[in-house]
Amino acid sequence: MKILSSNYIIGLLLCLGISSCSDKWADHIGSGDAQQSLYEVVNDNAQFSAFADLLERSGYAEDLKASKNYTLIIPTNEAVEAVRSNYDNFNDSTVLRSFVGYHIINSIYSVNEATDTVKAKNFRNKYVEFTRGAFDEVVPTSQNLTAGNGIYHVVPAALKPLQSVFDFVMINFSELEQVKAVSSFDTVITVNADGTRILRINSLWFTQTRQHMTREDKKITYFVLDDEYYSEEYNKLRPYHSTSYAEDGVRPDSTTTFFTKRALLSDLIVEGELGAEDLDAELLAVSGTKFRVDAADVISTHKTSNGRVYRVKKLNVALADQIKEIKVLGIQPVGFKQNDKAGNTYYRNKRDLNGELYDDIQIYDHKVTAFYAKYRANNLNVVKYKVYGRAIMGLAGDPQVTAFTQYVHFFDPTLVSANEVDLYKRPVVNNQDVNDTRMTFTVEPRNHDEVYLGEVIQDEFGRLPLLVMSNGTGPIILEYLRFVPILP
Amino acid sequence: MINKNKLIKLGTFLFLTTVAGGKIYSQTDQVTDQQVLAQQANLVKVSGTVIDSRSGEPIAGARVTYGTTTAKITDNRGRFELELPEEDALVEVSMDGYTAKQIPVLFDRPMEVVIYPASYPSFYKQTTTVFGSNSLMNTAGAIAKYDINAWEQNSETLDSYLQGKLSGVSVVRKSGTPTMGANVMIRNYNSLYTNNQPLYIIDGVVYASEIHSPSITTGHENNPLQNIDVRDIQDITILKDAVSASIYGARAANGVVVINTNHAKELATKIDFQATTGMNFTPKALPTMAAYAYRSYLNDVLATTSLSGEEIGGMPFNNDDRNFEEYARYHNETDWQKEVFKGSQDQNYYLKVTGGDNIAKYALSVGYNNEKGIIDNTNSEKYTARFNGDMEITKKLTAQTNISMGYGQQNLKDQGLSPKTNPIFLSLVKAPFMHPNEVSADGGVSPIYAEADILNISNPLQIIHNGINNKKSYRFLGSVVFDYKFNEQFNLTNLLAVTYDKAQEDFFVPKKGIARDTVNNMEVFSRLGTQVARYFGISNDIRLNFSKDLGNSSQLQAAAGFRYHNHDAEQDYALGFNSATDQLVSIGNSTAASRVYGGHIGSWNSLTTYALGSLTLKNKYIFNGSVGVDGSSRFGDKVKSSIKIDDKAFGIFPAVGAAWILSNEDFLKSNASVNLLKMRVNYGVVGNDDVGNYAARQNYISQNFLGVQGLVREGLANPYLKWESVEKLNAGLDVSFFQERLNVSVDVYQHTTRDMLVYNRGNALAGVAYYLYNNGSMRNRGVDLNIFGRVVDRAVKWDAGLTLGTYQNEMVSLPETSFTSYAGATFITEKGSPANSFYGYKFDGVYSTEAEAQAADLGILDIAGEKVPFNAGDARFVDKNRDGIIDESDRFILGNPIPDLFGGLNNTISYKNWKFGALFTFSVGNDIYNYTRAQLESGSTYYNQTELLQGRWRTEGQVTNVPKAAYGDPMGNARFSDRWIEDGSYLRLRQVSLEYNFPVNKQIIKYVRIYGTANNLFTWSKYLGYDPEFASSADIFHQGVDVTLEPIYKSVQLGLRIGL
Repeated sequence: MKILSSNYIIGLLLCLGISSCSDKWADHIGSGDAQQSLYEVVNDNAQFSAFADLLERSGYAEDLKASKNYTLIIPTNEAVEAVRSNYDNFNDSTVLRSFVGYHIINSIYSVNEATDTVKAKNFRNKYVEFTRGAFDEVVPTSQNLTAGNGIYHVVPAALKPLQSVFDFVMINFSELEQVKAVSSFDTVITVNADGTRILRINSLWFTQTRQHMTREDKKITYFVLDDEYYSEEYNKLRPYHSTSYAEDGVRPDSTTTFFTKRALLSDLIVEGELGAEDLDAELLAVSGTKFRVDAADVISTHKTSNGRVYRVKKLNVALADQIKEIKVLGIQPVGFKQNDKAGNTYYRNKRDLNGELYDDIQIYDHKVTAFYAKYRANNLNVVKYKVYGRAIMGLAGDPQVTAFTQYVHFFDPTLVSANEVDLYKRPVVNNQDVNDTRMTFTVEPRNHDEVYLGEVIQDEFGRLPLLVMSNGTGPIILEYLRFVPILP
Repeated sequence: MINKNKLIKLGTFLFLTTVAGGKIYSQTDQVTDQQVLAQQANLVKVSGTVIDSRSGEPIAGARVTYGTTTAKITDNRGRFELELPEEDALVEVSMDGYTAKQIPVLFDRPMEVVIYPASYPSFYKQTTTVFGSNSLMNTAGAIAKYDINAWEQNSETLDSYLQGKLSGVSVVRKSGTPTMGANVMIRNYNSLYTNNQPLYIIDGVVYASEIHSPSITTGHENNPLQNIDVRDIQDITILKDAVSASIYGARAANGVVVINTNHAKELATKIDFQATTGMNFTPKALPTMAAYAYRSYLNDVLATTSLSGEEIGGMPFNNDDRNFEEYARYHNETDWQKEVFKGSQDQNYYLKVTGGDNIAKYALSVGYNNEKGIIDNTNSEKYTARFNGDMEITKKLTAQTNISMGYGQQNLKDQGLSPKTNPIFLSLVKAPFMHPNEVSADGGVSPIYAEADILNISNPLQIIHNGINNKKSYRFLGSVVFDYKFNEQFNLTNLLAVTYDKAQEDFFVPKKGIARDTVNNMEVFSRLGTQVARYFGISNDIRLNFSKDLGNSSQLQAAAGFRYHNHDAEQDYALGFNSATDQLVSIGNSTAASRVYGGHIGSWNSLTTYALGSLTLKNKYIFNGSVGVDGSSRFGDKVKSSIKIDDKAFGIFPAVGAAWILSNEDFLKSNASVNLLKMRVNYGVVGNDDVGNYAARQNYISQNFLGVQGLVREGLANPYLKWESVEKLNAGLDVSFFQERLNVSVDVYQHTTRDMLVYNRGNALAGVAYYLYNNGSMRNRGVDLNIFGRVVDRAVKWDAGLTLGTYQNEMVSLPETSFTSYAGATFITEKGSPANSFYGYKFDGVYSTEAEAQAADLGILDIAGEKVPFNAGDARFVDKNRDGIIDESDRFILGNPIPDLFGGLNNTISYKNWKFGALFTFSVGNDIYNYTRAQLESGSTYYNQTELLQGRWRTEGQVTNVPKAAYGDPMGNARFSDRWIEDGSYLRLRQVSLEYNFPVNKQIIKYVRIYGTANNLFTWSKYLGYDPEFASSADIFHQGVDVTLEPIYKSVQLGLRIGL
């Protein structure tokens, strides 16, 4: 009897024990309402059935089952229906993926009314902008809801997948000369020995022009010109970009046409997305060219995923802003007469008498007759340049305190294009060629002003090699040389 | 009442005997003889019945004795009649197999004496302690005795066996690892920086139970008590107070555990054999996240590192393309805890043979224990042997030998704070999407275990199957006791004991599968180590005992002695790194430049002179006095002390006690319900000599500097360094009701530690930041309660015993408030509070929104001293000083690991041939810092986390109690706060056993018993860890911190015992 009752007690305790053991962690962890995956959230909610269907068809459903973290922007059924006709009922799988992928963002982005624009990259590699509680100006009906693998926001209107500037102009303005010029750079330009064709895009073109039009993490404003104005500008700039390379030769990326187009096309991109009200001011292209737009010349404006496209009749731009002056910095030599004088070569960061910082090069006590440093002026247009130089000495602590002379030496232009390497094999000091140009650069103590050195003609677009040479074994000091084009 | 002259004479006698030995013996003999003669004049007649508690029937053949003069045997009806010379006499009623009982005689009516079997706990028990073999009745000390019958609990070590059985003795098992043992605290710790474990006396020998050398396996300790088989133990007596322990002088501060091992009791040859097999069960897994939730968490954490979204997205575990060549490697669902923890089987054999003749008796036992842990591939194999002999060389000279040997071999794994090699910790934190084995691109599983993963977390199975942590330990303890009996009163005892202990350890952590580490600016890929630790001790204890019946129900016992103990310990280890291949596992294969040698030697001596006396008057008044005078090579030369011998300081440890047995007084002795009432009070001082072998001296250690070995000074000499003293004041009451059916023993005590070692701020110019000095003080006050008795006394017998202990600790004086840290926790020890209190921040939820965080306007200071505000998703901490900055000045005392109440409830129920036992243990109100959970819920590492982290803060406006995931925890959200402090209270069904005794023909076989035992069957606790009971070491500053040790697990055993 007693044993029975004690067994009973033990049994009771046993039950208690089991229940209390399992409860303590449940109490600690809590109910866990965030444990559905995003995929389940979309599928289990009748309000999102249209999007769930699209998700399944697009193939992105698998991603939302995975346990990486996503932010999902869910358009309601009404929102999907409202745009269904715009996308041809999503029959095209590309369109479908583009639409759905636009609503899925890698990593977690919560909506916060207090914060300014946050850009979130979605599955289409486009950026959705979260600005003060709205996405691309769509205000969510509910926001910051958690799921097992991320968070989601519900929007009453679907987000619109936009094309990049590049894609937009290529599709919508393909007939225009300007756009043809852009696409001409994307054509096959090299054929290998085995017959394979490779697309080789000129790197300068890519970084200076094309990349601006395609990259999604920055916004630009792009101007598309009338054919008439485009041709006018092209013809105007062409003489300044002429080269000796044949138009149908082995280097299609070095022809006159190439350089002219490249200069013109990079003048049409402005950083940042400009609204109509911003067009009144003077604009600065990524190439550094200044120009203005007359409001009357704007034909249409178009929003793209990475900026705004303005279709305009013409731009107001001066030739002086297009053919720019060039500076050659003393601290950027490309070589020296001999390589053993690094110990005598100083790259200095100094303050001038006005307290302004400047960088220069000083080659001092080198003990080499007619020592020189090699420089290159790049992207010089076909035009005559005035050359100015600035070299400062005689400041406190300088070893050189008295006036001295150095030379700026330009080679015979005919030799330059033939082979730059051979230039330096010539005994330039004693046998100065008749076609060489040597300018005397007299440096006065404590002189902050530029010194006019002379004129030099560039007869082919591109680089101009030059030397800065010592007088005997004297010093060389140079902050910069400035090439100012002499324009009509 | 008491003859004054007589008292003075006795007092003089006591003094002279203890000081001068037998010189006065003939005079005293005359005195007592005269007294006895004087009192034989008027005899009084008493009668009564002796009753057996088991059957309730009268017992025939029980002995009823009065002093040495009168003895009677009860008749068939259990009756006896005696003629006694005095009215306040006591008679002793005894019977083989029963506890003898001394009871005051009644003249007005027949007496009724109930006697209990020897297994029943009783205040009348005999005990062999420092007072010699004696009755518990005759001491004024706080003593608890426990008769061991540990056949059902052979997986226990001595220290863990004590749990729940004795009041005021707090036993905390260190971990589930076999042989690990337990921290035994008799009435709490009395010291901060010295030993706080009791002194063990085994068969009269001071047992070297200190851990002299740390193990090179992290989280392990080589328990010196593992070599004692609990089945060899006959009884354990705990001396909690000063008067019963002060003859152990400077080593008795933490109480004394006196253990007597089995000796042959009968001449007939007896053979006991036991065979047991057991099953161990894995613990309930902690709810860590499965692969899906973990991957989401991991991506969240990675997003807060410097890695870009593209880099994170490109990581192999994020690639869900089934054609991806590493898909199979990174897309699994592994339950690592299941891989690491495995159920296991134990085996156990034990044989004991006792017997002899009237010249020599022997008890021989041998045991083999093969216990397995629950971490896969760990075990402990143990061989023990003991030979106890008793020889009667002449009538007057007897000798006793106690020889024991133990050998143990253990396969271990790193535990505790070893995040790269602790398999349990790794099983919790390792990514569940990884596979334990190498996996080919098409999903084929190789038998080879996988490498460490890309998150730099080791594969625990490599440690388990290819790592080595091997320990071999030996201990020999031999002692010889000669006892020469001069006459009835005097005998001289000499005890000589030798202890030899050796522990050898090797470990190897393989290269494959283990996360790499950097040690001393070197990249480490495999780790090797070896150690030999040795201890040799020799002790001699010579003692003169005196015992005399003074007549008139009075007796006197006294002893004086001299004890010498020499200890010699040495540890040598070598650690190295980077062996050429994982097949080369011994230390010689490590790269020479990486090898580190070290160790220590420790040798010390102690010298104790002691004396004690015990006087019982008229069986009512008991006076105890004892003194120990203790010297040690550890003490400084300039210590001020009242006794100096050869210019060396000796500590004096005196104690006195008195007891009054009220129930033997006339006014109570006829009371039917109160059978025993005894009041005790005692006071004394005991010491702690564990001040460091050489701390009082200036010493040098070797140090490696740029490849050159040299000597540097380790510390300044402190010649004033001395022992710690613990003043113990104890008052107790023992009551027995209803013929011993209900017994209550209660003690209140106050222990005050003076001259306690504490760290003092040194002079930085001298190169000493801190030094130890005896200028601290601490106090423990507490109550011990023990209630035991027979609950049901019919055909079913139910005996129950409840032990309770509670104490309060307070720092009385300290040179300065000290802060210590362990496993990321901070502890404060300050005046007026308990030592070692958790000291951290108070967590107050999580900022749900940015606006909420801004409104709170709290922040932390960065390195430059700039305020960095908390953001949405960060933890909100209480700003104690309201300065808007959460820093060290905002910490609170969060609790401490000392329980408010602890104890046990022991039950034995017997019915016919069945015997059922159940032991509950409990601890209430102790706080635990759950370091393991702090790692599993920090949200700041790549470690897998508990499922709680699925509710982490992720979005603006989310209301949760879990801060956001942030790699490296820049805002300190996971800092040491009350988030990690938990209530460690528990109630545990510690042990249940059921035994069946087969009815057999006793002519052929004495008994056949089969039994089943279950250990740790149920634990009721709110604690969020594997188990609320653990201790990473005996150090105070490591208590209550769960550093992921092998948890205490459930096990069952089935056994067979045969007696021949």
